Amino acid sequence: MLQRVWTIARWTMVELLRERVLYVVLLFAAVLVGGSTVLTPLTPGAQKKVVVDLGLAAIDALGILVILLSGTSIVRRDMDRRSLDVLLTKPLTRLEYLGGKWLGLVATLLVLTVAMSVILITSLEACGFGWQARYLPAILGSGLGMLVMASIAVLFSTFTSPMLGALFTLALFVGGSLSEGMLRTVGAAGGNPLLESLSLAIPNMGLFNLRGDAVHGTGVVPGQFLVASCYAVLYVATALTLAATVFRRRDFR
Amino acid sequence: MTRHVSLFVLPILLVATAVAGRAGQAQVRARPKRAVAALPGIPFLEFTALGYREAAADLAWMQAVQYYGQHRQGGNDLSEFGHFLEAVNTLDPRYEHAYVLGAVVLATDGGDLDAALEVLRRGARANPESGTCAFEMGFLSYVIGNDADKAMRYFALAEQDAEQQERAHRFRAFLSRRLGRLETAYLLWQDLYKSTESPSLRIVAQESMRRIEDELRQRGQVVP
Amino acid sequence: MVLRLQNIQKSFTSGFLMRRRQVLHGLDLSIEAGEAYALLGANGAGKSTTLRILLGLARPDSGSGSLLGKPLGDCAARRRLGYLPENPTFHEQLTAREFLRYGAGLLGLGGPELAARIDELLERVELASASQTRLRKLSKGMVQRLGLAQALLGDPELLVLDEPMSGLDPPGRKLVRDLILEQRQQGKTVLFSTHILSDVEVVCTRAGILRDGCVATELCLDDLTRLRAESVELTVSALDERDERRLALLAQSTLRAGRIVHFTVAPSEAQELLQAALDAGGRLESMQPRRASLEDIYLEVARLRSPAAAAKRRDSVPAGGDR
Repeated sequence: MLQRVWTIARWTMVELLRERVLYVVLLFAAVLVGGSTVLTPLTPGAQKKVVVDLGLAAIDALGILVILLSGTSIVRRDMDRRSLDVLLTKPLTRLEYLGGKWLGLVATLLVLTVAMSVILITSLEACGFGWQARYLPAILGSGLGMLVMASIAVLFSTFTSPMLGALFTLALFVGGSLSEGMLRTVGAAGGNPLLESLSLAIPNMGLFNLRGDAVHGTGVVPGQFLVASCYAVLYVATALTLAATVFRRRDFR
Repeated sequence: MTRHVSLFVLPILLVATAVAGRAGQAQVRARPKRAVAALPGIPFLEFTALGYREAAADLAWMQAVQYYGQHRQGGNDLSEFGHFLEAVNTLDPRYEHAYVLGAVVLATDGGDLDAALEVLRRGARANPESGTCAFEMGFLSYVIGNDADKAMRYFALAEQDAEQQERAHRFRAFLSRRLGRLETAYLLWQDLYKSTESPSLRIVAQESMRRIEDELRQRGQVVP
Repeated sequence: MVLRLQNIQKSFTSGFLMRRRQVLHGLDLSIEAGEAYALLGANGAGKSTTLRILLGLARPDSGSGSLLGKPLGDCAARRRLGYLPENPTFHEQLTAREFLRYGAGLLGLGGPELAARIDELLERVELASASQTRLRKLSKGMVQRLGLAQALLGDPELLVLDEPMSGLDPPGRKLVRDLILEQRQQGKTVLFSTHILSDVEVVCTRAGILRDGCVATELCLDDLTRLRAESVELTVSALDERDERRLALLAQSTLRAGRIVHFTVAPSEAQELLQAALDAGGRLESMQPRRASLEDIYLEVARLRSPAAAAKRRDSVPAGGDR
């Protein structure tokens, strides 16, 4: 089983990386260099913070961009190209197929995140600001968020068109990023059970946002990271199981 | 479209677009300046920043600095400055630069030291491990408020942060001498002389200790 | 029995209003080991749906079946089958060789023999020179042939091909035909769908005509011989009008277009007419068999098999004749 999942993941990653996804790394370099050139002279006293904030935010946002552009069509494209027919008539279960697709997407994101992190480290060192190990949890947090968003993208790609899938995934990302603030606002207004249960269904992206602690050097408490990791694992497992349930029932014409 | 036609049309279109672009820029420049319009209302900031609050706070900080720069050149009356700083600290409550700049502007341009100290107190509460705000409180208390005693207390507080230690220590040594506490000042400079890694600071410390020694001798007191 | 479908019903819903359309109405199909079976039918007759249900890619609304001794959709049975879908484009960013390695990985194939097996298959489908080319740069026919190589990877007992000849040039069609015959000779079972009759008569042992969502009639080897050409169209040039008039007596119809004359002639008369035309100094431009349409064949087979027609034939046709 693992060998089949790995086979799907491996070739999915090869395909994604050949589909100009790597241009995202160039985009990152451009954002970082361009952004810091323009912003640092305008933000006296906070130059280093600005470059680090920009770098960490760009790693996160570009990861989400790749998920929206490539992840939400990951199953649909196989359907359209008839590759799916060939794969599913091999001794492969549909759950293995989905797991492999998700893993391939995640492996691609890992490659991209590592490449972007190396660029960030290099530019911080080159500017004389210096890279600090305390920034690492922020990148790991972004990585956990990407795992979750990738599973949501795979879920949508099993039953809807890439455009709708991207729209839904983006909506969940926005909702997930806002849920914390929204809950606080709603909580202050006396609580709304509908909103509260909705906020449990959408991914709590705030949990993976460790950028504030990393930048200000207050340090990420290991317990905080552990909770975020457990939550990510459970959310991914739930989303992929739901995807497999939908996918198992699907007819391919 | 044939190649020749596009070769002819394309430059015209490019020039026309550039001209229109220039006209558009001029029109935007001519609009009345409303810096605050560039930022959404405070309650909505969190929503519009999504998860990228720190990066958004940087942008708000950039606007705050720009706005203050315009004020220095006579471009505005600082009436909206508070909004910018509030925006920065709503997005990122630990953004110390905003508290510091806010307090300095309140104390100097606004002439309201108490309000300035209150802003720094908020900053210190949001950043319990940092001595930056405490140091600024000491600095403003002495420079604006002329209260060396109060400033000494703030500097002692700031010294608990390793990053502020040397700077605060130096100010305490300086103020001790001003207050006539020569022995304390001597010991503080001595500490600094031993602990600092900066050659220039070591020279300053050495020079200060020599002067204090002279003063102590003139007064007939013993050098500690 | 290699595969069996029994009383399969299948409908699809489509559109915003979820309108239901019944595609298969109680389809029955069974194929023995070693057969080469063609599923014939017009576009939209349900050929692909039948294959998809068989392969577990679609679920029947009702009915039952088995594939290689296992129930439909069984994972283990898929190790012993190869499938080529209709009009594939596959993984455009992979090379031909990588695509085959991908498939091999899922079949659990590996080791040093795999490289040799891939080389052999690429050679067999005449893609050895394009083995390092990405699929998006290959022509439709080349991708089709690669799909065939992929289907043969695991040396399957059953080969299922959905419109394997579509998009292929004449040499490509010959290659597919040869491959099917090769599989047959090795005792493998081949099931393929097509709407082109000429494919059927050469390679099949049996064929089923799909009509109104079920196998309306099955053609055995005997029936398949009936699919031979109804007439032959000969195109000859450099004939003068006198010779043309003389040769027209042998033909069913004649049509002149400038220097070229088209003769439509019964298959039995073709040889004689061609010889006479060449003797008269004519030059053969082309010779094409004309076949009955699928609908004609269906009607013909239905007519021949109906009891009334059989009785009539007994009365009117002397011994040995079928028509």
